[in-house]
Amino acid sequence: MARRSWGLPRLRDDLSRLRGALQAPLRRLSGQGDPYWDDFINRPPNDVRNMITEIVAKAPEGNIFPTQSELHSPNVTARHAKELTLYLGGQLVGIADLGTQTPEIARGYPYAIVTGVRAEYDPYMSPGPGGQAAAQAGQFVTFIVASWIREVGFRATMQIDVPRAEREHLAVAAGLGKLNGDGKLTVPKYGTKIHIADIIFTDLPMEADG
Amino acid sequence: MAQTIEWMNSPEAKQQQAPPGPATVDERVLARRAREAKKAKATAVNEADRVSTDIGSPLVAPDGTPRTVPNLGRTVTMVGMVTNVDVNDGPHPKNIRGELGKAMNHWYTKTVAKDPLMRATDSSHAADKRNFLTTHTNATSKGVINPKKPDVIDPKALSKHIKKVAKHLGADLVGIAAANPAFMYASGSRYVQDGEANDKYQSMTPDALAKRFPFVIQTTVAWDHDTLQAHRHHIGDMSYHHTSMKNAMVMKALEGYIKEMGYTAIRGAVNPQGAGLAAGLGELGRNGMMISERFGSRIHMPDPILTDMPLIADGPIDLGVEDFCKICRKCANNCPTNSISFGPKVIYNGIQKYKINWLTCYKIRPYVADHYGSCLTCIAVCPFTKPDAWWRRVGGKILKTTPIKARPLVVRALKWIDDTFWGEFPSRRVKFMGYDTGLKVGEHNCTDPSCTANHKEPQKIIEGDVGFYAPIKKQTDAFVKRG
Repeated sequence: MARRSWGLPRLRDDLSRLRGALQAPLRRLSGQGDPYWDDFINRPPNDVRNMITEIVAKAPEGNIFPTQSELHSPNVTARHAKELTLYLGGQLVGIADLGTQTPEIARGYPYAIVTGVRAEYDPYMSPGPGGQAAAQAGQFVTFIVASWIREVGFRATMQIDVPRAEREHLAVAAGLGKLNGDGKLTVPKYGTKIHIADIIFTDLPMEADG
Repeated sequence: MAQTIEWMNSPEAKQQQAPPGPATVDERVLARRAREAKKAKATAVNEADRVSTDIGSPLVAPDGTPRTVPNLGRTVTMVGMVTNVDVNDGPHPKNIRGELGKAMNHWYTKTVAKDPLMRATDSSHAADKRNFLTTHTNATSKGVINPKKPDVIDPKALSKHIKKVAKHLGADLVGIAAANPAFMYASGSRYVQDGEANDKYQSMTPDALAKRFPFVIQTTVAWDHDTLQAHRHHIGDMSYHHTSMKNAMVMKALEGYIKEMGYTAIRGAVNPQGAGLAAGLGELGRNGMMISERFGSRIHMPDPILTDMPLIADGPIDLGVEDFCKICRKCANNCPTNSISFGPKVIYNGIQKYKINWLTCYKIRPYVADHYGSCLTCIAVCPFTKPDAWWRRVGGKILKTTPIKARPLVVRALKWIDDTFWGEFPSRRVKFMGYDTGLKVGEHNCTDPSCTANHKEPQKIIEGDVGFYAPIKKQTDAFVKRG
């Protein structure tokens, strides 16, 4: 999914790729010495309407555009959906074939786009606005990708409340990583420091990952 | 009613009614054009050419209130009395009210983009605005302020904390400015997308508001450099739109967090560029855009937060933009509508700065709506707009650390390097999600060799790295008068 770049070599970009897994533990140190940081990460909000994650989660989704756009072949469409996801800030993306899943998991859709965003703090364990930053980054990506699919003329939703275990199961099905001994999702680049954002259920014809 | 009709049809009435106005169609058209031109002239067309003879004193507001002069850096200087601008006098509100003519109004309010990505990312051309993220994130905040403030209130630690928070939530640059009424909107006007600014401070004057809320927090998210290279194309639009949406989301999250900390956060009261200059996020370039140290022109300023949180304000910065823009003029040479001035700075509303002609810049849009939404050429070609790489930082550092008197020499050298390596008119070929700038404007062929779909148009293979761009200035010859 790497895009073309021009000009002189980008040493900084190359170094950041090499740093990879080291990034998360280093960034965690950023909160040290800050007397307000712990509240930012861990204190539940006094009013949930101050949380951007609540605003987006409750935002009504728009209609499907009545005329379907001309599509490329499924392999290319899948690549475009992934390209958009990574462009918007997702770190990992895969497409799960829901035809191989149970009807309860599939919910009447043939495909699920699974997006992973790097999480310094686990949004399930850290209820503060800072703890929810990964969930916020994930919502930003999934909302726009789902909107784009609806505007292309196909069904897509990111507002189905999928439990964590099921999200991670779908992430494995989409080839993002594996479940470790504790049943947690582990991915090659970020280890367990990954948050699976809202799953996009869609019927956009795509080639699924394995 | 019957009497009226009878009277209107009577020979006396017909004699009295002899209209003094135009008799033929051509004359009517001419009269309408003259009216429109007069109206446009009154609003904006020749703003940049106006000569300010009596500019007043910057130390007083129009109502006589004493003011302090804000330090906005070397590129923007307050030299006269500043009248606070009503937020409803911006290009989009004027256009929505129909003040810029029918074509502009219909394009803005009644057209739906043909392209699905534009429908999902561009508010004014969405088929369903609920599919546009910022519709939800820019709506008026409904959350209440937490009655419990932090136990320890240390402005230095709070300033450091709020900057870290903004970066943690996704911002690339953060700055804090001291609020000044000179860069605030006129009282009673707030920029809020859903038009429901329901805070109780709305009726306060800018001077009172700046006194009550002494700090402004401004952040920004940088645009992607590679997709921006496809300026005047839907790919470039994506670079602009996606960061605009991200900016709105980050600012909304930050606004919520400030309320959770027990302080007030007001949106839509402060001019974003004024706040960005005072907070030291960048300097104002000839192209009318902020130019930052790390990202050049590829940033835009979201609606800042006005707050009563005790903070320590940053100051403006000197990157050498003042010296560079004086010599470079690359944006003015490349502007397809001649909207960027080649001349020196002008004084407008008491402020000395480079002023673009926003009306001609804006009026190109309905004519090119099928190919792009925002031109972005002046941003893409700006020598400051480069990837945030080591060689770019070295160049910036050299310019910044050179004494001001010696800077013209450095600027000429850097400009030569830029023209040689990046071209005087950059036209890269960019591919993104099936879009390809290698195709001529108006063509919609698939250029992906791995695609096996049966497209309506035959598949096209294009070689090389040069993108197709309509010849410079050709697009706008039809409607832009050149001086």
